[in-house]
Amino acid sequence: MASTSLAEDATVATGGERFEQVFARHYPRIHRVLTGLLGADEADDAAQEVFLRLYSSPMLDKSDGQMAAWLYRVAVNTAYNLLRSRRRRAAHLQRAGRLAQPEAAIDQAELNPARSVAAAEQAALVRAALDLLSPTHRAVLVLRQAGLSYAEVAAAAGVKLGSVGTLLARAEAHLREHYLRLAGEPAAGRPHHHGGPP
Amino acid sequence: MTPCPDSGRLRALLDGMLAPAAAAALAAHLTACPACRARLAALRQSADFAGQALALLGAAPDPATTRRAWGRLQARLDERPRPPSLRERITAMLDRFASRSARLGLSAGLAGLAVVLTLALTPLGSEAAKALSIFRITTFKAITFEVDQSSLPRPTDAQRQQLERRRQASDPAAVRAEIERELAAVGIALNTTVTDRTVRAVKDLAAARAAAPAGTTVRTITALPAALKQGAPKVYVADPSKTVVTADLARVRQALRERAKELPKGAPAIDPTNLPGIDPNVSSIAATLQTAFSVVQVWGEEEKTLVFAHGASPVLTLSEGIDITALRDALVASPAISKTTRTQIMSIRDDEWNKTLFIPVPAGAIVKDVRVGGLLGVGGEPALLILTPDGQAGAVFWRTGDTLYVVAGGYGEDVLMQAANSVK
Repeated sequence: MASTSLAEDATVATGGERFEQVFARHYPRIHRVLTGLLGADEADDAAQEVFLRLYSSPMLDKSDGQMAAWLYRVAVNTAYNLLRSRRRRAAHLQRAGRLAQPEAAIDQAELNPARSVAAAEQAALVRAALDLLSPTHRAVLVLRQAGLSYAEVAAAAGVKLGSVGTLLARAEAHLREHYLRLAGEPAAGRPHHHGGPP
Repeated sequence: MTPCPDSGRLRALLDGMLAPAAAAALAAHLTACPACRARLAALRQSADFAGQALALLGAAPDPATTRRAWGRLQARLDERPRPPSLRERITAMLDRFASRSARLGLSAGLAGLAVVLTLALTPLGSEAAKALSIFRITTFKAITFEVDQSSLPRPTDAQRQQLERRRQASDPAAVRAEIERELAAVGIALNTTVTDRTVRAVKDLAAARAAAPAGTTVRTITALPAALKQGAPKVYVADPSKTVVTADLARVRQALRERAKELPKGAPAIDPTNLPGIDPNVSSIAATLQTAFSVVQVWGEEEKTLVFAHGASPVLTLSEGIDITALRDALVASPAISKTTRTQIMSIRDDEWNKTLFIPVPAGAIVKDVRVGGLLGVGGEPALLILTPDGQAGAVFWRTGDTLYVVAGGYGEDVLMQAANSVK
């Protein structure tokens, strides 16, 4: 098990080979989901935990579909546990408070996150806004953005299939609201700043 | 015009996640409904914003990064201790587990579930209690449990006295009512059909057969030590029962906060905002334990007792919002659980965890993988034989179909195995 190569294709394999293939295929997306849920700092370790769990789990013997569903569910649960145990929420609220200070010098005229404001500052704002979402909203949003179908999102986030659309719509609306607020754009007042569409 | 769709459907339309017919109907509605067109536009705006926003968090790892992560994972896998064999697991010990303080600590950790299990057995006669423990969990597979007592809070004198009083109480119903009141005070509702009649002594085996539900076969053992052959066994039957424990998590958390001050120094505190294995989004959880009809037969007295018990496995059902794997992880993370035990528990596959009964074994116990019901050691059901270090007492556990069996008593391997092989 000291191999450091990665299988590039997903031909039929067993045991360690299958594990390696699964890792190559799913690690990038799992990592992306965890980055969305936890932030880049913790995503590396959390992704390792997810695959360590897979290694000692019988899911490796299951079909690709079942295993993928399990992987994303475990990723979400791992993230939930980390979120709770490290009280990140409080820390991020503090950070969000700091970011909301005027000296954060965010360009308020243009709220399109893809333009104008320095990318790092925008990313920090997005992170802070994401951390203000409820865990379920965050999970649904991040899973969907990672390209999972509604059914896959429902399974991974532990929500009903019929509620994915609604949760997603709310999560996106909340993310935008939080972002605008953190960027210094009040929901009402300050009429000279226009929070137009991105 | 069709009624206006909810936002979830409009959002699904944007993602192309509606069935073609539903999408067509929605499109027809949109052409006729300016308000919904506006809603759709707003949803699209938020969705586009979210897409761009999340893209700022960084792309997925590239192949080189993924390869480095694979290398790190390999290194961690190589460090992991090999899971011990079943034999190794069984021979590690659990003497201290049996101590009351250890039980108290574990009960606290397992919260309501342990209470359910305890209550299910409360009315039971003491001599059969040990044997009946087999019926507490879906199926069984033995592992050992080492608990470091020094890491557990010592029960206060008042707690010790209360436990002792309850253990010896002659009126199980009163004890149960008392426990129910205490639980209700912390947001846990208990709804059970277990009464002091759920487990009861009956006259003889014929009475047990008469009490059995249709289709249930009541068995007995025929190979008995000579000294036990004269007396008829005492027979107990347990009727099916159902116990539902519902926890109002807001109140449970409140109670934990209030009681945190009362915990002894050094006791592992439970973080009320971070209940192990509990989805933070659920407001209540429920555990349902259904036990089936079972029969216990007891021959002999005192140390020279032989017990034979069998019955269908009970079923414990947990509501959504309880992650049994996370619960396990939290349990084994307790400083009271030894490294050996942690390794053993973690080696149980995720899909077997919820079927596994931990059988505590005394210090120095001898454990053997045996077979019951075969001919000359060939065939039969795999069974677990556990003997005390002197080989003078022990138990055999096995399962046939849906039925769990145990033969236990103050006899050595030969007598126990002969008895187990003589089940009729």
